[in-house]
Amino acid sequence: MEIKSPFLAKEHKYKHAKPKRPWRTILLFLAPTLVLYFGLIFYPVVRTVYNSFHTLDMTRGMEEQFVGFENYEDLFGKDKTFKLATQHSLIWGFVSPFLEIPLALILALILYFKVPFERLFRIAWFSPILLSYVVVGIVFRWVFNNEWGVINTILSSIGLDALTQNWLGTTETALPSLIFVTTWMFTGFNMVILLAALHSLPTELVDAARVDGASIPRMVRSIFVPLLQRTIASLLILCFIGKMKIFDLVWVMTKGGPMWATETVSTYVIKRAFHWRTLDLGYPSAIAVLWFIVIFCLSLIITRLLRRRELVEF
Amino acid sequence: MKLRVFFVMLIVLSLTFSACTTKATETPVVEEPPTEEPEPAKPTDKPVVVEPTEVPTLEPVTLTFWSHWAEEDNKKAVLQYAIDKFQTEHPNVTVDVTWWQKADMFPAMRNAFTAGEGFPDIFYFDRGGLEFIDAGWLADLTNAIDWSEVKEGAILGWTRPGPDGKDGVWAMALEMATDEIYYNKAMFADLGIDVPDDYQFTADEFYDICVKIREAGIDPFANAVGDYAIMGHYIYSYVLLAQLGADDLISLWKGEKSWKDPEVVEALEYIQSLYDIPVYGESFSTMQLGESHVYFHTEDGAAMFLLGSWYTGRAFVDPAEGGQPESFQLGFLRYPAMPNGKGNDLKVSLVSGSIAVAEMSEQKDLALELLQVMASTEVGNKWVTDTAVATGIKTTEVGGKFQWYFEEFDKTHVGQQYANAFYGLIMPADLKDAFENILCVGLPLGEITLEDAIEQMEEARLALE
Repeated sequence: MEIKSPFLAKEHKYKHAKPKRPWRTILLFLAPTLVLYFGLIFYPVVRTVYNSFHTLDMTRGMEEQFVGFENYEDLFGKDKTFKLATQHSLIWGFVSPFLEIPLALILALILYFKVPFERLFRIAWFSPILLSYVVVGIVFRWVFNNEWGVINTILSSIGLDALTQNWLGTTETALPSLIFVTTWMFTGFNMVILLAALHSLPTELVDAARVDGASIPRMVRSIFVPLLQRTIASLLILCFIGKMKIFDLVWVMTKGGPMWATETVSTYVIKRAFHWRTLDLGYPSAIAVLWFIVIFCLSLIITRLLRRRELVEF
Repeated sequence: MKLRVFFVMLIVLSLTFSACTTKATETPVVEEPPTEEPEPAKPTDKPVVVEPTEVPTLEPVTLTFWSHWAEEDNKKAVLQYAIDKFQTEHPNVTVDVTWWQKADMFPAMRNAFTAGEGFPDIFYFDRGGLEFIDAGWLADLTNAIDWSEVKEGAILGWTRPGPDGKDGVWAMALEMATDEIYYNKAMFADLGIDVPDDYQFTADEFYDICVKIREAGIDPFANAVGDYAIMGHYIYSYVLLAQLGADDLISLWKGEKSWKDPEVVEALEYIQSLYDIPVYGESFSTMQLGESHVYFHTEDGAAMFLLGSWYTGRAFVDPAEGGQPESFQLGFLRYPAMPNGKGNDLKVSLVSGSIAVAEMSEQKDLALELLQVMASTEVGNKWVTDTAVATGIKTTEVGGKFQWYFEEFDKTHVGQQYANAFYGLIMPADLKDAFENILCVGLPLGEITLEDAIEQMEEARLALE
């Protein structure tokens, strides 16, 4: 006689039933973060996009008027300063990674091979990233001072007067000077990341290479660099994005001068938004939206290119 | 589990509501004294004594005042004097003063006015917030206060169209500057430079003395654009005003007159000749405003300083705080006279640090009363005496430790005429950006030729149309 247990059905039911998620509790804990996210990130982004399609005609009161793509047309049409700012930001974005990352790799390798006073060097090389852009900007204004700055003073003292420059006061040297400063600031940060990546490599490879008599340059070329490609690619993208958005350092050191020689898109947006004797945020919003799209697309392209070679970890 | 969640949410909501609830303000209940009908008086009755009714006390009110000059104690003292006087007359009113640097204050005000709350009732105002007028955030003061003790030039300086297109007066100019050429008398004497009796060199003479100063290894001008491009504008204002006169200069600033006009080009060529000497120092692009002051009056690095008369705000303080030494001999010059110039007798004057009232203020009437106290000769006298900075208020006495400065000023400015022609209050923003980058910074640094500079200025002007 088949005995049907009344419990078996329930057990079967519970065995295959999906556990219910406690959505209310989940929402309760997510609520503060979601409020902050929507209030401080999502809404400002949406509002900026909205503003970019509107204008505030001050002669007609404080009412917004929809102007479609007019702000964007002006941007591409007649704004020479925007074109200059774009050039400078792109130069900065593409040049900086090729300065910072190779230098960071060299420093990381120096520390990896346990030079004397390794800990002191690690602190010294990492310290610049701990300083704010404002502090760095003020200090380097003194360093680059034409009359009594450290650089010109040293050059004069060793008989290289011909090389002394008005570093921040000429259009040719102002931007390279700022790129030098950000290289100084961020090389240490990249160095720490690469050093961590180096230490995570299997030591057997290095030991085997040593046993085989490989020199250090050969190990760097054949073992370290290939194995660190993913980390390097990630740092490259981060460096690129960071330099495309740079504002603080330029504002403190040169405010975009002389003659727009260090004008970046970020400084130009601020000037158009708050120093243009208008409350209309339509045009600067258009600049901000366009630049966001540019950075996003370029980052995507770089990521895709690197991903094809399986270099990117995300 | 569900019950636990429910109680947690209940506690959170209760705490939230209790924090958000504001205590209702208790309005004082004023009991009206009972009125009694007096009985008809009888000849033998004693007179009825009526007890006096109680006068309700005024509610305490707080008036918010934001001001620049956080680091200028002498100017703060004058404003505080006016505030104290106002509070004595209005014992129920407390003026809550916040001292700012204006670079921080204007963004904060902009945000507050945009939000419609948190803005001050009365505040410092200058050309850094002209768009506030267009936005309707400032109260029209035309008929709101008594202007009898304010100079006509100060009233005209703040007369501009409002949001409805009609002219109004938007602020009261406590500080009114004139753009000057300060010079080091002792240095001129050492270099054998004789100043004309009317304190005005011709253009050629001015060029010659700049050459002489440069040959002595001294910078003719102490100006530098390390933090403000505006510091490079003075020579343009002076030479162009002398050359064109007030009307044509204003037309040029507005973008109505061409930068290729022969008279304009002649003036710019003269300025280029000064740059070729050169008149500015090696630190022109990096030295900051405060450093320029010290470079001029303490380090003897330059013979002249082209600056607004607010020079005294930084210079007339303790030398340990960056003020000029007591032994420094300060003099004034008039602008170099251009051959066939239409404005050789003119100097630029402009409304500078001023006080305005918020149109949306709930205490607007009280704010206007405080403004009225400030717009008085009494406060004007104190301002001039304590700060040595010119004011838009009519003054009757000037004394104190800066008496020598005003005597020197009066001696140098006999018959001087003034023009309300400061570019910062007139130029459209796009043209102003081009002017500051190309002419104020680029041309003196040699980063652009004069021909290219004129071409680019003309392009910027035409782009306005």
